[in-house]
Amino acid sequence: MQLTVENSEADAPCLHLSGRLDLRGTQEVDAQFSAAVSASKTSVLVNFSKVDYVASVGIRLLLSNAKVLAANGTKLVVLKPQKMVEDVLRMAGLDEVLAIEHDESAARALLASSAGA
Amino acid sequence: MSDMLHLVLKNDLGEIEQLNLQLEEFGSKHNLHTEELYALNLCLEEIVTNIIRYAWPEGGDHTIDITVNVNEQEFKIVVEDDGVPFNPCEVPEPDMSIPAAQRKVGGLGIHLVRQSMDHMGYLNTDNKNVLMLDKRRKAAV
Repeated sequence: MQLTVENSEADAPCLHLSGRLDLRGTQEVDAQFSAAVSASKTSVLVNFSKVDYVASVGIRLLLSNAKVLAANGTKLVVLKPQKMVEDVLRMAGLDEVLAIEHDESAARALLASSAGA
Repeated sequence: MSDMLHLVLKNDLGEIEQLNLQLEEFGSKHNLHTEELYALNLCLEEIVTNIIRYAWPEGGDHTIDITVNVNEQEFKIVVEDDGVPFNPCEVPEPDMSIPAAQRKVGGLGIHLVRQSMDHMGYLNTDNKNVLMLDKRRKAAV
């Protein structure tokens, strides 16, 4: 499991995940992911296009970080999840605490419009 | 077509990787749909992880016995262990009326298993936990 953090001066940072968010994969990125989210003063995009699998342990990682952001009035946005991964995220009810988007510019527009609201 | 996969795993979380590899191999041998393989992987990973974490509070070396039967119509999965009796069918469904941000995170794995499978059954026999899962197949192989 790999995580690359793409920081942007003016805009929400994007965390690019690649691999399987199973038990091992989640442990591999957990600390770095949570640190990047805690460090962000804005909403955070998580590019999921290269994540081929997510288990409950990965869902808990997203949930706990989405709660951190929600407490600051910001959001976690999952970008471009693969079909089955998206199904599992929705099955877990995650779509209530974070946004799932398939278009990056739409996601950024959504964040820009809700910023300061 | 009918075939069976039989696996015996140790109570060590490192075995999950072995489980995933064996399921991948089984999936490609039988041309399983990616979605079917995903569901199999997810359910077995959640169940086996729970067993390894909670079935033997005293520790020690134990094994988990997994059988997957597949034919044109369905999958039948049986998972056996000799740990403390635990019936996942009795775990209450997460209360979806509570906002997700406040919902307890426990029980999420079992919720995903229930959602992915068509039937879940449990027996405690000869001091063993026997969990049975069935899933109808979407299309013939």
